[in-house]
Amino acid sequence: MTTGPFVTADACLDAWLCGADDQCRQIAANIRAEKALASDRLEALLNDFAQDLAGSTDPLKTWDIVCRRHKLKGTRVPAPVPAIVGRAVSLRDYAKVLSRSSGITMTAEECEEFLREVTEPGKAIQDYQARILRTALIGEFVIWATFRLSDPNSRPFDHLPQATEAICTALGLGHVGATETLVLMSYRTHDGTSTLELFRPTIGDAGNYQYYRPHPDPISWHGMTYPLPPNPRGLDPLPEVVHWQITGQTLDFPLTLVE
Amino acid sequence: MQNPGQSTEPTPLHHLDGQSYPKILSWLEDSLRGQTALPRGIPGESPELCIIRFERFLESITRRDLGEACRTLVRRFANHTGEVPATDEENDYVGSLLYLARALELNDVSSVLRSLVSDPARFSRLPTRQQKSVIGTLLDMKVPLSPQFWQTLADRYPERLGVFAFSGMLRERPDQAFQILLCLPDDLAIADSVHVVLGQRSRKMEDSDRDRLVLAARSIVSRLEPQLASALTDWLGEQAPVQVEQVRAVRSARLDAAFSALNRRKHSHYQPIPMPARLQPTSQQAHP
Repeated sequence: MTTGPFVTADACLDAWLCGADDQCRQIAANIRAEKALASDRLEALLNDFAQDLAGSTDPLKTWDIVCRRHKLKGTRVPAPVPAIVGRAVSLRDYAKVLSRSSGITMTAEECEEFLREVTEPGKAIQDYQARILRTALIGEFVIWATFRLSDPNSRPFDHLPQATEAICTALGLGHVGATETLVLMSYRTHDGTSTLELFRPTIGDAGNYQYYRPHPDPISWHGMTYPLPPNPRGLDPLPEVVHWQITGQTLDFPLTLVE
Repeated sequence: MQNPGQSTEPTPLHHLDGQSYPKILSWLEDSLRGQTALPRGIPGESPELCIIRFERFLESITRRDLGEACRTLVRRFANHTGEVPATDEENDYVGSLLYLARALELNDVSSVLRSLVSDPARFSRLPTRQQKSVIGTLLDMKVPLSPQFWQTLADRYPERLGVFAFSGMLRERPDQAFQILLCLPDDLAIADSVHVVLGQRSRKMEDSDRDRLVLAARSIVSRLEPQLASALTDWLGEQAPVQVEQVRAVRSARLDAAFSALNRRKHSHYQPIPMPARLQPTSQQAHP
């Protein structure tokens, strides 16, 4: 990355690495450590970054915007893909996604209350509640998901401590407060007719998300999370993949709320 | 994550402290449009959630400026409806802006939103998603609006905003809320939303108010289209089984259809009871 259009980008990364901003330092280190993108795709991403840097007053913003054109460019997960994957999302965010989904006519606050109802321990989900969750999106744009390497047919969060702090530690969710409420959801990757396309995450998917860490194994078909220090429970890194937004058609109930 | 207020590390939005108001205004608009490098808690989450997460750790003057900036952007949106192309990005921006206004408890912005929704010409120029954001925000801010407003909204936008109208009417005049269901399309998704909203509102009511709501529901269920009648019957079943039995006794082709729909939803078959076995309608039972 020392010739041609990369010179500008390289200089920017050097500046980030030597600077005082933690976010910039980490993102520059991630770019340098990237192993998941094929060389032509990495070149295309950096080329776009170098071009857009010209005239930019905010390189980090430029990086994030350029990355939007380079989503889901990592290795496609080969068959057989994990049968069940899962994601953690803040209660507020999921409620907002529900309220924005077509076919749902409820306010964000009503959706938040609805999610508390359907995650109430010991209560079976009702048909109409399941229909709402299956109709709505489970997230927007690129979705990050995890699974169990040792048993890809099982729900990925059931073996973890059911507390926000533990889930954030394991998934490496650095900016989520320990008292925030998260929804843990699991969903099947096969809906009876087609299989969800999963990809290995890359720096392009991460954008300016500073808690992403490139998995050092270049031939792996998945990424690995970087548990947040100090990790007092000694939680292991979890495998991670990305996919495009989907509805909750294949949700595996129950959803779980952790606080 | 450590509590940034107690940590020696700077908070993720600390760069806003000491900035001028115009810069904060510009930053806020860019951020809500996804054009700044926000410290997201979870990849892909909405930009305003990052702001809400860290806003409380900013200096008080910055927080005041941020709130004022949010007010300004809401006013700008409300006063320029229809002048901005209705792209997905614009819809996302409006949704994020109004969500932030509510989260920051800027309840005074409700006056400009009320003014917007009270002007049919301006309101009708908004794309559906923005209409939903505006009405949803007014509902979540618990802004009182007249029963006439909710009825008119249901009449004008039965499919898109009918359930919101039902929700608003439940708050203002619970006894009239079921009238709104008469003008809603017979759609399963709408019926499911009605079921949720009705359950939530009724759980917060005093027993006597809830009993009146049950009576109002019983009086109208036979006049509803099948999916809505089925949702209402389900809700009635959650209140008290005996009341459902009384509803079953009503002789109505529409009610037969409703029970058929209900049983389809529950993957079973509904066999109407032969006429002689039915109770005849009594003077207490409402008929259209």
